[in-house]
Amino acid sequence: MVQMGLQQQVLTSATIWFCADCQTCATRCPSEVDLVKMMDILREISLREGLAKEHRVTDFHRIFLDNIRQWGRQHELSLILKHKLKTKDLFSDLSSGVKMIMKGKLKLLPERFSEIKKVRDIFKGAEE
Amino acid sequence: MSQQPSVNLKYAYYPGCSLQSMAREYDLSVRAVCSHLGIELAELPDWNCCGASSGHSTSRRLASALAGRNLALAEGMKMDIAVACPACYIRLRSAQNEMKQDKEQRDELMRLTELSYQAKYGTRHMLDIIVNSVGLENLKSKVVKPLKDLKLAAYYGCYLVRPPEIVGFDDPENPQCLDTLLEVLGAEILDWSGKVDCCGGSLSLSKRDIANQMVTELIEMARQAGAEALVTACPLCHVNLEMRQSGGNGHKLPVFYFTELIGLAMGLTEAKFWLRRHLISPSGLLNSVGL
Repeated sequence: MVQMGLQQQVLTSATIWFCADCQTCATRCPSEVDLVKMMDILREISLREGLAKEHRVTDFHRIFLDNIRQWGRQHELSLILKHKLKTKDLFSDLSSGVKMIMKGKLKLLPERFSEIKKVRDIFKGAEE
Repeated sequence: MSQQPSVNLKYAYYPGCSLQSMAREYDLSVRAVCSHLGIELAELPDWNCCGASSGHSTSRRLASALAGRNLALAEGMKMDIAVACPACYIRLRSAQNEMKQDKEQRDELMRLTELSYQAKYGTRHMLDIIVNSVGLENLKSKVVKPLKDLKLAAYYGCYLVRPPEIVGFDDPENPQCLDTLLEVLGAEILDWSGKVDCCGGSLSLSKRDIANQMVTELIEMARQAGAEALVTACPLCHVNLEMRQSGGNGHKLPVFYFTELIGLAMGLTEAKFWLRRHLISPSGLLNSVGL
């Protein structure tokens, strides 16, 4: 589609965000087309140009990376809660969520990370 | 045949974020099993998140630098990295591969992290280390409680086998190492067609309906093959397979980490604490086969 000049349709499509990154296509492609890398590049351009429409997925990625910038490591509970607030989807998976907290599978507080400045520098540098 | 495991296996251990919380039982079982197999794990100090799917889906530059900082830290320790999470494994291996081939990327990493990096050391998955460096004969000599009568489906998922040129230590379509390892532990391993299918784990939060459907199909395949439980080496598959299975609690298939089963077969008493953390309790199944 990109080769046929349909960039706009591709970059605004939900398909590029539904890709689960399972690597099967590139592994099996008889012509050795690296579709995985292509998907990454399309998603990156789609975000940069403000064309991404699949907000449930793009919000997830943004929150995921904001958490790393803030803490250096992922804090799953806040990732889940922030995503729920952002997508106004508060009540799904509530019982599994409570069970996960009871089982100690979701830490209440993020870990302390002494070299956080180094990680923030990476974000700053990569965004330049 | 040696009865003693090699004593000189030493790695910089990269646990990754999931193993600190959601998959703490995986981390505990990895550490316990490695210690009993003579593998020394020195946790990488101040490791950071590898960036996972969100990193490379939005900025390849950021993804490369986040993973790269961990690679550079391990190189400073002059050690190969051992990693248990396949999603971290593919990120570290991909960054390492890119930087090995491209001096510009190495220079960029040095600029962003102020750490030197020459891509001199490797990154290995725990399953690869146990099967290929400890060796199954060594493992067998440690089995005191064979997992007899346990019917298992070995589930490899995506990043242990794909893409083979980056991560592969086994066949990408019909891998065998986990099957063979579980056989050595005494379990009955079933042939099934879902072993390298994706469970949709990366969409588990953002596109629940897709993940539900992918998990349902996988569980159905495992059930039809006669499996009583699945075995994984991935924390994201584990949580997705536990959370997105449909049906009542009594009808769900438990999911084990492969290291938990090694621990059980080695007779490690702490194994029962790991298993208590599962959302789908495997205790009924284990009691039924006398484990």
